Amino acid sequence: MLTRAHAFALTGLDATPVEIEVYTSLKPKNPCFTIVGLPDKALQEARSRIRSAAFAAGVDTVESLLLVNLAPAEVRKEGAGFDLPIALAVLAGHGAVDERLVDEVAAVGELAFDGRLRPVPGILSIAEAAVRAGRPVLLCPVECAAEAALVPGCQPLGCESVQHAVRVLRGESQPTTPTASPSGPLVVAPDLADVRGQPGARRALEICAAGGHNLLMIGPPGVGKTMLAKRLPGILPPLNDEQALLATRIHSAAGVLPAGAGLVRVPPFRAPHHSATTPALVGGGTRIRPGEATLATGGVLFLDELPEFRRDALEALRVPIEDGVVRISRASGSVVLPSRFSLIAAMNPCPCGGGGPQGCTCPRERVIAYQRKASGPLLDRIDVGVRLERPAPEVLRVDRPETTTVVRERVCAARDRQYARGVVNGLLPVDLLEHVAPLSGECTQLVDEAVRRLSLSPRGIHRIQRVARTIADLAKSDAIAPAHVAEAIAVRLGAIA
Amino acid sequence: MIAPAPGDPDYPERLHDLADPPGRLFVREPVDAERLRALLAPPLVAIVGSRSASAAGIAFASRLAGELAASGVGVVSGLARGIDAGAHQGALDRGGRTVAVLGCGVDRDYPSATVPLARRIAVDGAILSEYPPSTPPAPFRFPERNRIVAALADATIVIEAAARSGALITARLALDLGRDVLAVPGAPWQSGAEGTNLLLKDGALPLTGAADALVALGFDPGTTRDDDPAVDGSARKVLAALRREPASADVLAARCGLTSSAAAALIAELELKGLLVRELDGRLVPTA
Repeated sequence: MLTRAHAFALTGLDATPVEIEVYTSLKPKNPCFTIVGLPDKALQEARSRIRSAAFAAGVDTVESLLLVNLAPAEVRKEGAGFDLPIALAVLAGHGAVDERLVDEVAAVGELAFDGRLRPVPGILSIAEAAVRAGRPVLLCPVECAAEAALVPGCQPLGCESVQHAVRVLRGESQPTTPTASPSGPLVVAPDLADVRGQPGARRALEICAAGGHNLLMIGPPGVGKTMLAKRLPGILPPLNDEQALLATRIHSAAGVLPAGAGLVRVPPFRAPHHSATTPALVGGGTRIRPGEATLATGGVLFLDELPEFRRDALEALRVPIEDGVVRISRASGSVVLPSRFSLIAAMNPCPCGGGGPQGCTCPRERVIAYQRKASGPLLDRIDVGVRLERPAPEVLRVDRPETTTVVRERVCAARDRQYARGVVNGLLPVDLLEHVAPLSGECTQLVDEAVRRLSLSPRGIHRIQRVARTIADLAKSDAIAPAHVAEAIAVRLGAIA
Repeated sequence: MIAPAPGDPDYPERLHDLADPPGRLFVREPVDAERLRALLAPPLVAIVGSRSASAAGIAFASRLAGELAASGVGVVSGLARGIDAGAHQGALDRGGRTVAVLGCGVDRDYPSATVPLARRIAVDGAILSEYPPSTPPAPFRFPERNRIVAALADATIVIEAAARSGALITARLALDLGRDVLAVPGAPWQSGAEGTNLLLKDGALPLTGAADALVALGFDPGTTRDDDPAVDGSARKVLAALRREPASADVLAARCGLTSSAAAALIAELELKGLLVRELDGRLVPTA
């Protein structure tokens, strides 16, 4: 007999409906279990898990002939999430559950040999696809139910095991209700006041947080570059509903969301190691996975030891930084993933690091070559550059670091002004710049002077204009004053060797 | 391409002061004979120094060349990175005369770091060499080239130089020719001051500004001095603090009692006016 179940295939961040057809023959000459429809290795191995789980549910399939078809046939299906829907269709084929009940719902989940259900990645995308496909009832592992419930219209039924799922379908058992709250725990970022003696760098961080600009920190090891970067999520405003849903979807699809964590409200902080490959940074691989650039969406991508990163990996980041999206092309089509983040890069000032007791011992030419090479691929994407050094006693004496709370209030106020205009300054399109960030005669004169002295490109000019807009927003000023432009130029100069 | 040889009317007469004057003087297109005569007319100074000079040294070279160029003095140098490039650049930026003498064929793009500058000089100044076109650069050609630099100029100015360096060779050649040599004095702990202080001990004239060069050339410097671009109260205070001792932005802000943001704005203002430069280690150094 023929039974049906409904599942979803995850590609990038999107899930597409997959119809599962199972042909069951109980008295065949040659028993077998075949899955067709581009299954990957994990899905091929589902046969063993399904047989064992079905046995645990009281159905022996060893003597049966089972043909499983996954449609549409040309879409690749990956992962263990198909275990539960296939198992339900198999059980229906053996008369253990009414086939019509199975046909009505969508299902997802990995099976253990004893029939227990294990969570799978990408639940948020799957739940959205389930609602779109008109099957809002989703049988899923208990750990995934809370996440699925975040999607408006979705009715997740959390199940402990395939046996439990059958009883839930028959109406003999209640689904297990998720316990986690829909809003994730607010992990407290370390406080900005811990960074003493770096007033210039703290100010640069505040500007970047307020306008979503990209920052380059240059300084010897141990002066606080990483400390500062880790404090950036703390001074960013929490993600709004739309941003939170997107971030959660991404983290869920990448399988990095802790079970029952709920919505991601804290701006993500991603710090890939400098050995990261291009696919690890921007996404890709045979099974298209979001890269660090996508995982950092809504938050911070921190590249420590910038010169140590592979050049091709950095080159690949240029488009995501400029356009806010990653495009991954495959023969079968292309996938577009979001990648809107603040880039924070850190590097030593020279090959020796300058951290020794005598400071830097490198010849001048090597220092210049190092700084050029290091920042080369990304330099024209950097808005703000800052030099850090060991805090001098005279700086420590007068420096009164503000707490994260105080700085975040200013940042949030500046962001509110930007949201009221419709777009964050770091992402202001060029055609809106003249409208949103007009420069007075005196300001234009300053910019012209900078262009002449620094041979700035038009892109460089736009970056200065955006940062000046942010500095004015931090000062609660509607107009951009010459002092704002001057500071924007000063922080831009810090990025150039 | 013009290539005057000894005896030609366009061959610079001063080169005859050399014991071994160049056999020909190749000039990169599009400079013609008349233009070359104008560019090589006195007064000319040579400005030379280290390739790996400090940012402040390069800025000083630019400023000095600019002020001299504005007073009608042409600037000769060797188109190397550092001081040479700064001097050419400064003269061009003020619309003055500048001439680069190469240690390779005039059609070579060498050194690569100064290629864009070379293209400007070829049009607004002149690029010369005694070597035929396409001659590759070689270490022995640079000291040879230096004798032409020294001979073309009325005086040679050394800004930053190591104790053994091409700039010092140029200075000694100039002395041999009986031309004036001026050197910028420096503190003994500054790496670029070694060579110039050595020259001063040997009797070179100290130079701290364009006026010293103009006096050496026999001009009255009184009316030609550039005034400082106007800077207001707090910028003046910042500049004064840096003149006492160069410092990073954070230290500067602490010393002047300014917020980071106010200090940054003032620094940008001064930097754009060319009154301070950033060294590679992030310290801010006044240029005058």
